[in-house]
Amino acid sequence: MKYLVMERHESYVVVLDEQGRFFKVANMDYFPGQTLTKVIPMEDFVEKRKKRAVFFSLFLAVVLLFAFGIYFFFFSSSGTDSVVFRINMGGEIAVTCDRKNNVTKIEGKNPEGEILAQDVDFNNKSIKTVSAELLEKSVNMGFFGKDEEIFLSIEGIYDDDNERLESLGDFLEDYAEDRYDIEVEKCSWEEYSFEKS
Amino acid sequence: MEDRYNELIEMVYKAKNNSREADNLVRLYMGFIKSETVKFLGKDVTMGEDDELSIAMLAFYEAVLGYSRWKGSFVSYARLHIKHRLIDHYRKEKKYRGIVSLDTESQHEDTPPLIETLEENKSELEEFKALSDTKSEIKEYSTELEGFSVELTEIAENTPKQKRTLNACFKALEFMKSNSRLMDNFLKTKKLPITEIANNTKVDKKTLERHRKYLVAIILAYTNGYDIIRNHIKGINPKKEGESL
Repeated sequence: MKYLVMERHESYVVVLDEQGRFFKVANMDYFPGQTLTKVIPMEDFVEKRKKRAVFFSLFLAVVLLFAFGIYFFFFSSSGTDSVVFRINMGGEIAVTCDRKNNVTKIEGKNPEGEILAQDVDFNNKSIKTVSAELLEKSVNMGFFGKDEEIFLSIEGIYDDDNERLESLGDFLEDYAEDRYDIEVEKCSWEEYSFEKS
Repeated sequence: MEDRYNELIEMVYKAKNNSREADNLVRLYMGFIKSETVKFLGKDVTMGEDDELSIAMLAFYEAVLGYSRWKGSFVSYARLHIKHRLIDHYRKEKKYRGIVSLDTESQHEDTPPLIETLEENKSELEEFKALSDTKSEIKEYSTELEGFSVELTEIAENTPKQKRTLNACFKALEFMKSNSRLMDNFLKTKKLPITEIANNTKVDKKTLERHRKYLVAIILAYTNGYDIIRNHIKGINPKKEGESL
């Protein structure tokens, strides 16, 4: 490739190559009109900046994706989505939990349940702790007597919901067996309502 | 001290868009450029003899174009850039070591340098005349470009980087060459008929607008009177269009 020197400046010369392109190249004491065969081209800052911008955008996208992934894995999927346990132990109560089984809400579903749900401190407590406290309260208030059944049901959308129900049932059986001789019935709410009526 | 620093920054920013200001800045900082080169090479350097000094000067100009306030002191930035550029040059040159230069002096006093032993195709007089003609044609071309408010430095910055874009510009050139009415009008009004070119060549109007200065330069070269420049341009290879230049 041959380059025709078109203009001379202190630090560079403008050359025209055989493809009709103009370039700035190092001025090795060249003069206009001279034909060159080897040149040292100037760095293309615009192109360099563009490449750098693309690299940073990609890097930022990867970091954001990674951050979102972490968020969904640790917080979203295990923290904010909820399931509702329906418990009948003298009063009917709906206990809402997050995916870590921490209680986020308690609601009474019949008059006794409303009394039981009142003033229960459930902050940072698991469903097992709160269920045990509710059971104690129900017994103390005379809503729940000997030989009665605790009913448990769950409204959830996760694959491990049944395991969670089993686990709570097992816990309450272990907890109550020694003192109250209680049976824990695990069936759907519809089946339970039908049996009661 | 603060005033001098701000004055330098102001000069750098002016030099970014003005080639004359850039030349002045390079002249003003020639001592600094030379000292950085000497520091790198460990020996004295002379303008016109040492490639490293020319490269350091180019690096200083590159530093002017690439500098922005948030990068800190300009002098430190330029010093670092000169150093990196000289290291790059040193690495590239390393590859070609062992190849004998045509200017190398012979070891025997009676034998002339290698370049002088090569057969001359042209006489010195012919060469001088050709060079003189080329110089005056380039001068005339630059003066005419000024009439279009375009400088050669700006054209170099506006030249397409992709072969696809360069090919599009050559399409525009071919269209202009085939239409004498538009060519005459272009020379008379000093305006590029971008809409007409875009409609007739199917080249995107934005591409033409983005490379307006380059188009002016290349179309002007194909008007009457610039035979040497025209003969120098052999065009692009259309098979490889799309690849980066």
